[in-house]
Amino acid sequence: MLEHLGYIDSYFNKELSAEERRIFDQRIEQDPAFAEEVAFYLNAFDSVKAELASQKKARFREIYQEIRPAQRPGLVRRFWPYVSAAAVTIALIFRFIVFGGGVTPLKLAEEYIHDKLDLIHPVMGNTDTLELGKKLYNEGKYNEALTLFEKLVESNNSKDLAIEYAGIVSLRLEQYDKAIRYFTQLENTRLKVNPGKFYHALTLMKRNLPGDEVEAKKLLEDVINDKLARSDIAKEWLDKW
Amino acid sequence: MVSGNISPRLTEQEIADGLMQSGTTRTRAEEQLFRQYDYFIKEGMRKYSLSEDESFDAYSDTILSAIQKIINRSFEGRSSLKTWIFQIFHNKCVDLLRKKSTNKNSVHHTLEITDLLHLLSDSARSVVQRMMDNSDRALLGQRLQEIGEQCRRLLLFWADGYPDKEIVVLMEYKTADVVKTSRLRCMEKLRQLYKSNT
Repeated sequence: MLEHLGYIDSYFNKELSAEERRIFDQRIEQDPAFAEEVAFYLNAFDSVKAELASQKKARFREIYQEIRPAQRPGLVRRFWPYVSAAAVTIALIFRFIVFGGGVTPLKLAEEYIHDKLDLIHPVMGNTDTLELGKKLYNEGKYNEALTLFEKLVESNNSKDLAIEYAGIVSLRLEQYDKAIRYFTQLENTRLKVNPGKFYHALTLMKRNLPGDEVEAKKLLEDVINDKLARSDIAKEWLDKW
Repeated sequence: MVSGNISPRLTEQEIADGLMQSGTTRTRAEEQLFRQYDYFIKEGMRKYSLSEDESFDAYSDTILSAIQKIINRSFEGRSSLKTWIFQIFHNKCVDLLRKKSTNKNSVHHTLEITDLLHLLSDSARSVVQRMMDNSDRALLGQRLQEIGEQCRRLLLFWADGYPDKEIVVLMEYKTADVVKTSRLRCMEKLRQLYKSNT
């Protein structure tokens, strides 16, 4: 039966010659059991497609749930004066919380991770392992993404980026020790723009164990003094510390 | 966004180009396309008096159908992407209203005839189509949930258009040939499960 499925698969993958295709079509008309198998193959394909569509719709629903509260044009228009007054008040309160009140390193780290590390920018047209890893990361499949990035680290392919991404995924998975190992490795790599030390500090801020805050602060000072990648953010954070 | 890259809002052309890819780019383009015209959902509620859920379903089906058509190059670009998508959405809404008025709206998840069927000659297609019509699609859908996670993932990647050589990396198989054999074994497993109940 597997042979038949292989034959059917080759037909629909357009791997057969014109003559072979003619024989295939003819066999469908003459051999009901074979036709039944072709029908099953197509039904199975369509069922899997339907399942896929349902998964994609679920993803769309998640996106819609995220954006839904923000898009109520009718209501917003009607209550615009109240909405704008409320927005100003909220902005003032937010400003007081962030700049006036005490902001913790943990909060800064969580905000950064949420805002800046939610997606890894894909490179249009590339379909290599690094891109597949990014795709999995962007879909929230962190464990699978980590497997791919670690494979790349081992194989020396796109190593610097793979180390950076492996560290980021480890951070998202709250595997802090592993993340620190990767970021330390990155710090010790000769790169024109090296975010290793910054990410190392970020991981410590997020881990938030005794002593982590002090160590993170030292690392951020190094980032500023050595003009390393993300020194602007490091400065902004230390000003609020 | 990692590495200081800020994701720009994509143009219609970039979305269409992104959909022609098969990896991350495609997923991002699909999501971007969904976001691009999500206000149609409100239009569906306002213009066609659909509930939010119904309008969301019509819009999601519209986007899935548009993605398929763009990938199959059925979108010729004679009108803007927005106009074309709204036309599909309008048809879905009208279709939904018709189904509602004839009380046939219990499940409006329509399964389109697979494009693969059209590869067959006319006479072969009619034989196969008849057999497909007589099969129990709901049961097949149920059995798909029972073939095991590995098989299910493999078949989903396949249905999403991933070539076997990419599945090798995604699912840690040794070669593309192994992927193909495993995929066919999974199909066979699905067939056995399905047959045991028909």
